[in-house]
Amino acid sequence: MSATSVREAIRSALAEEMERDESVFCYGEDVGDYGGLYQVTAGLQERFGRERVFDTPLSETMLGGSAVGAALTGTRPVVEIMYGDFLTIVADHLVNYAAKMYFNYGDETSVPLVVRTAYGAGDQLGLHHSQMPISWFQNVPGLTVVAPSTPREYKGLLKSAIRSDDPVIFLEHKLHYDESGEVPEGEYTVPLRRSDVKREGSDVTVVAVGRMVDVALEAAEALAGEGVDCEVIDPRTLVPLDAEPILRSIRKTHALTVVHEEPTFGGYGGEIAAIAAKRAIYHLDGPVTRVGAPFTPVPFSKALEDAYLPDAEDVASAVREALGG
Amino acid sequence: MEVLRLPKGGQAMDEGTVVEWHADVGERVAAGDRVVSVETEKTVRELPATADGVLRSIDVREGETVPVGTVLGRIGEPDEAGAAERGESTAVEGETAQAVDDEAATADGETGTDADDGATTADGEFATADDGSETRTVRATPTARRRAREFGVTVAAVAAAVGTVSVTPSDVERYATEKGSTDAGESVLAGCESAASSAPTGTDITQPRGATVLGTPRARVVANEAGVDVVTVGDALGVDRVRERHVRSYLDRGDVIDLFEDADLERPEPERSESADSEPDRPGPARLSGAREPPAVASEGALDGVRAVMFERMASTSKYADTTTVSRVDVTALTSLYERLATSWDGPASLTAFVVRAAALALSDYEVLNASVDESGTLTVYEDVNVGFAVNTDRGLLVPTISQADARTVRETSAEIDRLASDARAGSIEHEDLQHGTFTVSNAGSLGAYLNTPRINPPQTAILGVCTVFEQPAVVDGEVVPREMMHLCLTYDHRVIEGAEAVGFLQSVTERLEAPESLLS
Amino acid sequence: MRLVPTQQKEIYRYLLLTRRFEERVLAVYEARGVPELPHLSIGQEATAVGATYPLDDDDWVVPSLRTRGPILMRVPLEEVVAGMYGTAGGPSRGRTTQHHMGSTDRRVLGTTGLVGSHLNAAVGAGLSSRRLGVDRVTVVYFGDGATTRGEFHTALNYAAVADLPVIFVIENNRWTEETPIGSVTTVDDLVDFVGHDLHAEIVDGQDVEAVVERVHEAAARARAGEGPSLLEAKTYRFRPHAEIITERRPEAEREEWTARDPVEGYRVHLLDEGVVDEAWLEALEAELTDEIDAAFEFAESDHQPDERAMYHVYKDARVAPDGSVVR
Repeated sequence: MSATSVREAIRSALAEEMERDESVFCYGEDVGDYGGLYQVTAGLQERFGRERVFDTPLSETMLGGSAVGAALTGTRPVVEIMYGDFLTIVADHLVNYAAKMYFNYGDETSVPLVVRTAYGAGDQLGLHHSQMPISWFQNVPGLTVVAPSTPREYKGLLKSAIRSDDPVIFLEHKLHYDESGEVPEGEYTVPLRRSDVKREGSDVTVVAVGRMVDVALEAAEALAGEGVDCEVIDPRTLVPLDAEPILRSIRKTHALTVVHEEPTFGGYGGEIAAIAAKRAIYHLDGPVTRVGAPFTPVPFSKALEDAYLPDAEDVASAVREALGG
Repeated sequence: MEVLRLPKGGQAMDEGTVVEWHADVGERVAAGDRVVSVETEKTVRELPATADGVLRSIDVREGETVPVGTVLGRIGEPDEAGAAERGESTAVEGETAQAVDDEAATADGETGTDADDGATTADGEFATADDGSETRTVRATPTARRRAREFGVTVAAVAAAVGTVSVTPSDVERYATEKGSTDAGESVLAGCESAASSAPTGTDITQPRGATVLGTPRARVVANEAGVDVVTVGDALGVDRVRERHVRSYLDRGDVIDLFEDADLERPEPERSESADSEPDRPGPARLSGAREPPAVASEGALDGVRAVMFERMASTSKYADTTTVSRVDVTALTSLYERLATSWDGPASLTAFVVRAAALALSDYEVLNASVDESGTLTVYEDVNVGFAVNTDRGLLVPTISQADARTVRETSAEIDRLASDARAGSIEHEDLQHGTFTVSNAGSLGAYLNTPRINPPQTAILGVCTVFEQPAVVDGEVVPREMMHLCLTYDHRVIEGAEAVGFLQSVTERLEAPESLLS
Repeated sequence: MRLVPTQQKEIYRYLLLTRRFEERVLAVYEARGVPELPHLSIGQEATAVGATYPLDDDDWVVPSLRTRGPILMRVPLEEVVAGMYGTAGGPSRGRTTQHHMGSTDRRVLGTTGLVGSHLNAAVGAGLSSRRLGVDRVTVVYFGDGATTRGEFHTALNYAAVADLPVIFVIENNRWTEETPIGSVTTVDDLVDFVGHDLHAEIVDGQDVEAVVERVHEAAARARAGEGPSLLEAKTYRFRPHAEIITERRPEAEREEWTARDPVEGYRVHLLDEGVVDEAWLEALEAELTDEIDAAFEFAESDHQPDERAMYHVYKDARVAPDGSVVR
């Protein structure tokens, strides 16, 4: 094990997968020579050459379409879309093309592409460089959407995503890049489509996504002081969802709170709440509470963005409400 | 002492007139007998005696009109502390009960206010009917309380009107129906569903019952499993959004009245209200008391000594794939051989020794039962056959080991068993003697067990339980004769031992025991 | 390139197959309906067949909605008709119409119902060729309408910048659905949209041999690393955009173009050249009729797919209808 930043973890995943499989290649805007806006791909072009790590014109349209075409014709492209907010441009290729080709073909042809993108607020980047795009894609059958929370999982899940034969949107929180954590030496992967219990507990199930996992864990520590023992679950793969650990947890705790960064209305939490309301209804002892952003764009100024983003106290309040206290 | 008051029989009723007494003072009456007729608003009602007893006093005479709530008469036992005192205490200070005319005629605020007093207690709590010198607690079943809420009346008012201290749902309904409407003050159900609709009883966990109390799904499940419903819980605890913890705390209270939730209660025994230490709510003998109390603790403490060891060992054996197979051994020959030897040998003879030897010999053909297996799946098969045998001591079960049991004769084994068992019971057994076992024989039969499923002694792979010898008829040479039989119960670790091997071993032991002479060589 | 008679006959066979097939589709559709709404390519066969004919089997074809020819050249007729009927024997077992079908073995890239969204996919196929070190060429067909989408500009720009082995074929039939292309573009010739670094030329889309020749050259350039080409084939569809649409185009224009029937024209040409004779043509007609009959019989007697055919969404995962993972 060694202390590794999320940035380094992602970079090493890309390098290892390119070493392992000739058909893997990385491209996007500023990823080659510059090393990526967030320096995630720094050094990869030197190491693997311009044929494998390269820059493109400023065209998400081209990035999205070409990734689909490359994936359909025998290679594994890993394309970087600079900001999750720009996924709207590649939405046609993701939603109508990538997600649907395995369904469209009858001969087991699929689309083994990965779209990596930086998402999330907290850096005062304003309306168009701060969004959490999960809700825009969670309802598209055929897509896999991943949002890790620790360096170890960023690396392991990206490797799994690259090896997956299905198209994956790999969400990287921009505030995570500098965060460090223990990453195993040597070859390992973290499986897709497996939810992870980050903290065991018995009083309430807290499902948290992406950077909100840390926020939930912080809230759990504070709540422990109040005698409330939180079980924090990180789905990691948001779509398709490994719901069993969450349901198992609710059957134990009888209470559910969901935390995510995007607006509460129409956000990922609604899906979790609905699944609980159907499959664990007789185990729920109180309202399902959701913590998300208000129904506004992401504001720019510090005070506004702080108010916008859920914090540990928001999570704690929601937990208390779920517990009827 | 029971008092008979003039109940409020209709919304507009303020007073009533005693028409006719059906008993005389001193006459015995039974509960339910009509004892007086009163007229209110041109209808005549019969009032029943609310207890068995003797009509001790008539406080309002025929033809007299008195306000609602006035004590009309008293029923009690002849030797009770005098009605005279009672009568005095209800009257305006200083005056006697016999001076009824005046009191009754003038009392508009003194004796007649009880119903109002009673009405002011909080919902869900017991209503208090103030009788001046005594406080009596009115009880009501939860259904009755709920019906009262629905009708917008208070249990105290019902109690006063009906003349009881134990209000049942039918009391409420009768009272409310006769009362005529649900407009007694503010309806507690303002804004909710129709107050007059009678809520269904039963344990439907999905439907709210037409009252303001609602429960979470989890609370309803827990309540349903306990045979109560969330509305009962809510009423009892005074909450209108019932969660699991409310149900649990309700159940912990052991509120026994609710066991009779769905039945119309018979009138319970009269309260002996004049006993000085009148404790409210003494449950009578007909009720299940403490059915939901946690059991009283006799002692509590950490496991120690031999029990602690047993706790650890047995916990670890739960990883074994324990399977038990049984054989029935005809030990008729064995027991008679044993008896002969027991008298002819100068040393001890032990039946267990025969089993130990039979097992030790059989183990040479089934060596996987003379082995140990560890977590990583490593199987260690032993050359030596060291058979442990269980000994019950004051301090628990000890298992001394007979080393090289296959090399010892029955006689030698018997001596070993004797020695080791004595040491074990005396507490002087050497630590070495309890080690290095490769197989165990457990004699539960000495305690009378007919069959048992012994637990393997880890890290061994099998244990042979010997059960009690019992007589059973069998057919030998066409004749029905008694035979001595005994069960051998072999528990084996099915992770490493196949069923066929286990059964084969047991058969081998059985055959040897059924030809016991062979064991002596 | 000089085409030899065997090749010419092959080409004619493909042209006639496409024509007769689509005529049959129209007839069946009018008589008793076909589940898939026909978007016929009658009149455009020369462009479609001509641009695919010079390719190797390993080269990719990325058809547009209307590019029927290449599909019929590479996929058995039965499969195609079953695809139209949405039955179990179709290329996607009823999951989707044959319009967008893909088949990796036969190098037909699946597409979507969005006009032009496949242009960058073709670029991606070009990236694959380079990454895999093979000299596979990709031919992508699209109509004039697609040239007004951003996809067109971004795909051609990047293919040229990166010298990708992609041949872009515009089937310019002068109409973007119900709107004449001239009224929505700033240029008369669509090749004028692109820059100088890209080899771009116009070809007569009704002359199959001209199309074959242009694409043959373009493929050779592509394999030599000289980058992409843009071919604007001037052509015309003889039927409406889709069979539910009422014909509104000017009659004069339609008459002018139907006089230049690519299939009929080539037949006449081959007869004149002595490459074929009437007997051969008759035999070919009969053979194609049988083939088409058989394909329709197969599809019409084929069964509807089982519901389970629908649950073919993730290759790596079993996902329940409610979107949750099945462990």
